[in-house]
Amino acid sequence: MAMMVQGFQRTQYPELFDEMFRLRKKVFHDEKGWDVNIVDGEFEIDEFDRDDTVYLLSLDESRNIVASVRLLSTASPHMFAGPFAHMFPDVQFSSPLIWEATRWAGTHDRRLQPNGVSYSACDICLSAARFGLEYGVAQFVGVFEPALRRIYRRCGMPARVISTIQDGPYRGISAGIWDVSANNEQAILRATGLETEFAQAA
Amino acid sequence: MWALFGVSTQDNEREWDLRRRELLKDAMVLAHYIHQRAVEIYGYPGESFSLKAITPREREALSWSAEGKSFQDIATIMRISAETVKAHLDSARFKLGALTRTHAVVKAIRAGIVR
Repeated sequence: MAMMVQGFQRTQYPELFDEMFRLRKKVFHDEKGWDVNIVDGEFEIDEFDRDDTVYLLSLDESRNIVASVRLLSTASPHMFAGPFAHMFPDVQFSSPLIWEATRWAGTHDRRLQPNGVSYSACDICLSAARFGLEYGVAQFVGVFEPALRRIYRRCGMPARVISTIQDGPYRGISAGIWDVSANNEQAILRATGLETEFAQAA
Repeated sequence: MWALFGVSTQDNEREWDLRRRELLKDAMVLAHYIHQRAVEIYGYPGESFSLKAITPREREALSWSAEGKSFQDIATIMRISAETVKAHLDSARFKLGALTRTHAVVKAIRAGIVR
């Protein structure tokens, strides 16, 4: 089940946000060993987790978060303009129509769609496409590792790679861009075999 | 603190359903321009995301656009994807406060960013 929340709703859904930030700590700090900010020894939260930040979540039947991604308007402070600027100098965009996707995190999800990708990953891809269509987004930009790039391709939304880091601790990480369109939404639906209700948090 | 930008229409639901996705993009851009202008006029202190100068890639894309090149032409010339060209031009348009890409090119020329 897909859900969209914004940062200002943290007081409305405190456990949900805690769960998401805990998941992010597990994935980015514990598993990947990235240099990320940990709050209270438990949560991965940084300066880009603001009131206006958008989060897309995929929940299971028990309403546990299985996957999440963070979206930011490039017309506001965002990672490509900040910490990623030196890594991706060619990915400097600033527009209300271009949004940045970062912090894709997921737990192990055994439910597989016909394309071999987990239900929650497919869910997030479709949610992002629908968010884009509903909220006037023309394009998404994001960073991803090779594994995530394969997921995007299998979900019918192959990333147009802008550049890939060649060496150092983040070697192999790419920046990419996607157009948002009704056709692209259809491509995702076909590739994932998914029909979900786009549920927006009230 | 929040700013609210509202749009109302005389379309009926069906008409609005057909149009809203495209119109929403224009509304998003307008909302930002109006907000920026309001902040300038009223001089709100505190955190502001100052728009950076036009980047070299944006300038290059604008220059080729001024020569009448299409997205695909510019993509070939700059050795990047058409999607990236679109993003550079969209970003340049926003920074220049322009309403269309043509308007952006003219503003860039007037500002001496592009010859």
